[in-house]
Amino acid sequence: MPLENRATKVKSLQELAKKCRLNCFDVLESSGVGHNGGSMSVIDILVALYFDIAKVNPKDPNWPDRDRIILSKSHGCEGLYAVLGEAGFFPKEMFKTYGTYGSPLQGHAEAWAVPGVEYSGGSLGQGLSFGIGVALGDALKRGADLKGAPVTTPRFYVYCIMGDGECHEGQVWEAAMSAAHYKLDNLVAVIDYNKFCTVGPTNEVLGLEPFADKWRAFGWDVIEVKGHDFDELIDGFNLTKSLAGNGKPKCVIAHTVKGSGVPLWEETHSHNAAGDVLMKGIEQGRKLWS
Amino acid sequence: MRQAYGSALAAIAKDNEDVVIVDSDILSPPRAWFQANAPKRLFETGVAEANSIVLAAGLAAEGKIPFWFNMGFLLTRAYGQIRQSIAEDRRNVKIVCYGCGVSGVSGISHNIVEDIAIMRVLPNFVVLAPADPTEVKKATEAVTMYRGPVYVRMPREPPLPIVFEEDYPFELGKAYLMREGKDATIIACGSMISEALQATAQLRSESLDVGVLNVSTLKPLDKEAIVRVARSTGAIITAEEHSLIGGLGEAVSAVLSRNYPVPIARIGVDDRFCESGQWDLKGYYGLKSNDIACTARRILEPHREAAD
Repeated sequence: MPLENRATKVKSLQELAKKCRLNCFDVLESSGVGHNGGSMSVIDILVALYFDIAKVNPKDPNWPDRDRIILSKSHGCEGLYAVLGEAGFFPKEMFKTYGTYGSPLQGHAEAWAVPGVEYSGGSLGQGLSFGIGVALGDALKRGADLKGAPVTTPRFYVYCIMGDGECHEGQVWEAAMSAAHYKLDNLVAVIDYNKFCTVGPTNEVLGLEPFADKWRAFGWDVIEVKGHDFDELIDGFNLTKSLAGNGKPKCVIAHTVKGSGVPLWEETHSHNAAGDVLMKGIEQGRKLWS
Repeated sequence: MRQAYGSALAAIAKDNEDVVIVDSDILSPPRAWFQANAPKRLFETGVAEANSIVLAAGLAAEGKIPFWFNMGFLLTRAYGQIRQSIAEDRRNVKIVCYGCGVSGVSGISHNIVEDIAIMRVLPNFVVLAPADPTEVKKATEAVTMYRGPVYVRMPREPPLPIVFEEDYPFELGKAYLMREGKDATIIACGSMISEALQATAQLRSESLDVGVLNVSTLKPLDKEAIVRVARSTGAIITAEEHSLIGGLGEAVSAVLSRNYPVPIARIGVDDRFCESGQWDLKGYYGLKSNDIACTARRILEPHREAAD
């Protein structure tokens, strides 16, 4: 795309990301406790998908040909709610209900509760398998031959966003084998590689490296991007589409920062927070992003 | 029993293109038909039960009706997946398991008698224990039409005798009165139905008139039918090829203690694992017809003394 249009697009995504961060602070504040780290690290990925890359319709969340965006790292829900609200899947007034009993905005994103949420998560490592089933369901409808020629012309893409710690789960690798076996090249795993799980740096807890090599060894195309750089996110996701038809599922490894956008949270890499840590971070974030 | 499931599903799948099967390195009973007639509707994940269960949930989200078949103990490998990816969102996945009982040659690991307990306790699940091949066939048809998560369990060995005719009016969620009694009723499911019927024959010769209620749907439980037989006969014996913890016996006790307390004796596996052997091992666990008859006599003793 022409550079000036591209620059405009990046700028508008950055503006949207700013708004979504502010939305996220509203969501977190309503409950007084939440997954601040993982929500902040995933927000830019979500903005790129919902506002540029993916084919979605906030007015028709069940549109059969929509791209499916599965937040397998469902604890990033505060980030997801922030983006879904901004996109118009539900009124922003709902943000302040987060944390209240009976609110559709549950502590982890639930498909049964919120328009725009494809998958009810909480326990990690399952979303990729779900994405495979969804992609296979589509392939079946199209009469695609999955065991022979590569899958062509998908009706939709399936994006499955996972955390890096989540990739410790064995099921992720069961699914990785399965997706490659079924040549699901409209399946895009997106790793929010923020380098920290709950107890410490991911690679000190249980080493993932060489991470990209692992996905390649499992038969996936791997694209690495800076997860807070919209130029790289756009290029990365567009590359996955241009590689469609090659019979290989795609993995976008997005290098991110846990707590991105709030220096207090970036320092501590906290998985979740409450009380002072949360409130001071929100205050700091609001000053920076307003 | 599982052959009955295989042929029933094949017949259904022939006319219903939404029916698919998801296998995790298991030669499921319908597999041969799918391989020959609808290979694109056969999904295989290899030895990966967790992936296979959630993959089935994904297929269900796209409007398919996936049937997941395996040995009962293997569903425990994917219990968290069943809970989150199927039960919570009421995904239209049908889980069918065999090896649910005390008999099998493969050892403790492969015999499961805790399955009704762990599946009953999941919200949104329908749980079935068919009594014979006819009921398996009708249950398979019924669960295909039903929208929502279903669990069907059957034993591995021995093959169960036919107790139902082809015109048996099976109804999902309804218990079936096989025999009306006067003195007591055996409330049973699965393999224990034929044992219960044999027990009633023994008891008839001793002038004890005992009925049999087939509770093939463990969840939702047909509470009315259970209360009705308690009311009309005054004493209950429950029988299941399952642990005494969390199964049919406790379910019936819960209903009756609340609605119509009567003496209840429960027959089941007493909190233990079940070992290898050939072929019908129910006798080692007190699950045969004479065990049921014995229990019935014991529970009815005071009444007989009173009558004398």
